[in-house]
Amino acid sequence: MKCANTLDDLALFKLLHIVSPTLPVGAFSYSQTLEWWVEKGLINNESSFIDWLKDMTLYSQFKGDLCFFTEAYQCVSTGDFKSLFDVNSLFLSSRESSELRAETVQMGYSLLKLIPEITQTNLDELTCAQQSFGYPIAWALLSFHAGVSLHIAKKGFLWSWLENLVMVGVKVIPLGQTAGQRVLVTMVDFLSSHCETEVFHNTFSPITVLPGLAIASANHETQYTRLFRS
Amino acid sequence: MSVDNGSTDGSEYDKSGWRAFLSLQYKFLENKTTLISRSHSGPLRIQKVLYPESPAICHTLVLHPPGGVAGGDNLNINVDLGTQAHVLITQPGATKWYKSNGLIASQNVSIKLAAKSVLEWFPQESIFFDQVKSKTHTLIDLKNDSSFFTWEIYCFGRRFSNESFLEGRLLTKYQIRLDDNWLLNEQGSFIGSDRFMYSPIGMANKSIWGTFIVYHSKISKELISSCRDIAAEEKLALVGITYLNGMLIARYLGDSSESAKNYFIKIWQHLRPFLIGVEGVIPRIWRT
Repeated sequence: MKCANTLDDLALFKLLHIVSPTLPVGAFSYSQTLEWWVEKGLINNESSFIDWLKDMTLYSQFKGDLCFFTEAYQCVSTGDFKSLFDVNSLFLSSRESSELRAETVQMGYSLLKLIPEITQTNLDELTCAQQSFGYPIAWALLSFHAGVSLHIAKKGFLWSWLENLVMVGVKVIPLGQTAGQRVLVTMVDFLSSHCETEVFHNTFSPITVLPGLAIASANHETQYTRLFRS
Repeated sequence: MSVDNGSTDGSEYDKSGWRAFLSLQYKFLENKTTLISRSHSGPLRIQKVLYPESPAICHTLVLHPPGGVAGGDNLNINVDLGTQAHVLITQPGATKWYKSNGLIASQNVSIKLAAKSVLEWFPQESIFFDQVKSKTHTLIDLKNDSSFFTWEIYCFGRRFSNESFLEGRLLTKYQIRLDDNWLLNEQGSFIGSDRFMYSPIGMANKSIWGTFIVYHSKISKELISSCRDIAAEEKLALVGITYLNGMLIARYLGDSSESAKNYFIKIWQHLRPFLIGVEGVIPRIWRT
């Protein structure tokens, strides 16, 4: 089923603004453990990078963050802030490691500060009630107030996550710029094929236990040479 | 938010399955931790209550159903510790979760710790046979100054019988709450036929997944660093230690449940004197 959602021009430009890598949320500082896999020699070329990205898309995004994103968006759209706080608390407590938690808290904080600027929405009441917001939760808030529908917002979130990780990969593996573009092309096909399946329109609960990722992240914390904060 | 992560198809639950229930309540009275109330039904029961360390620390051996857990069975365990009570609960042997007859086997554990209480909750490993259909839910309620030590060790398939976990199914929900705040929310989905079982970010083709957790007000980053020197016996196992929401979390991904347990025991023995001022003397039952 093709997604029939459309966007008005203002919402479209706001979405493009939000997904832009120039958005000052610090995404470029985080590798989501990619730096560790590269250090171990487990990711060393285009194809091993693509395999890893596919698994990350499936488990850490579709079955992970996007489940929380969907819940959070629905809470925001119905004004149910009590449930929003609970989703946020469950999301934050499901991060696998110290670094992955710090990443989402820092990026969530930076993104939240941009919401009043980008959407002219006053969030004082909300931010007084809760100290830390996870990044996907803040994203859901921002995209809702920017007038972007849930399904399109999720795709925007996925794209910006993917683009950032591919840029990290180009730097850390390293890959050439053209190879980086080829990875994006392959991953865009992968994403779009999954956006038409139930895994995207999921109504199931998230998976928050990713054993290999949890261990990779714990070990990245003590990695000797590192450029990234996760 | 829905945190139910299993099939809700009621037909997979059997009303006639073996329902087992065990409820334990401890209080600290006159310098002694006492099991003040216990109730059980079905095959779950206490094998022994003993005091190998001091009257303050009550060791309790919980016996799981003889022969393991079959499709349709439901185990319920409730543990409640009063202020200052200190309890160590363990089991004499592993829990086997058998191939399903079509029905889901499930376990619910609910633990409540009052202020200044200490619970060391060390169930033996759970062995999930191929074609099992299972579901577990653990909910721990902590108070700010209570302390909690635990591990969970899952074995998928039976390596010694050359049985892989190709068609098994386990859904887990493991949650820790401090007052009204979530500290940990782990929702796992271990499905034999899923790519997750061999994905490097998932089970990475390993058969043992273990998590060791300590919640204690004295957990510090320095103390956690000192645990990082502890190595696992199994050379190919992957281990990692992190600090999350006031908890130390150590993880083990490998192929030897013995090595996983010994790794966690070493961390526990290292931490126990610092955190609760007593040596980590290995309960006799772990040696048999």
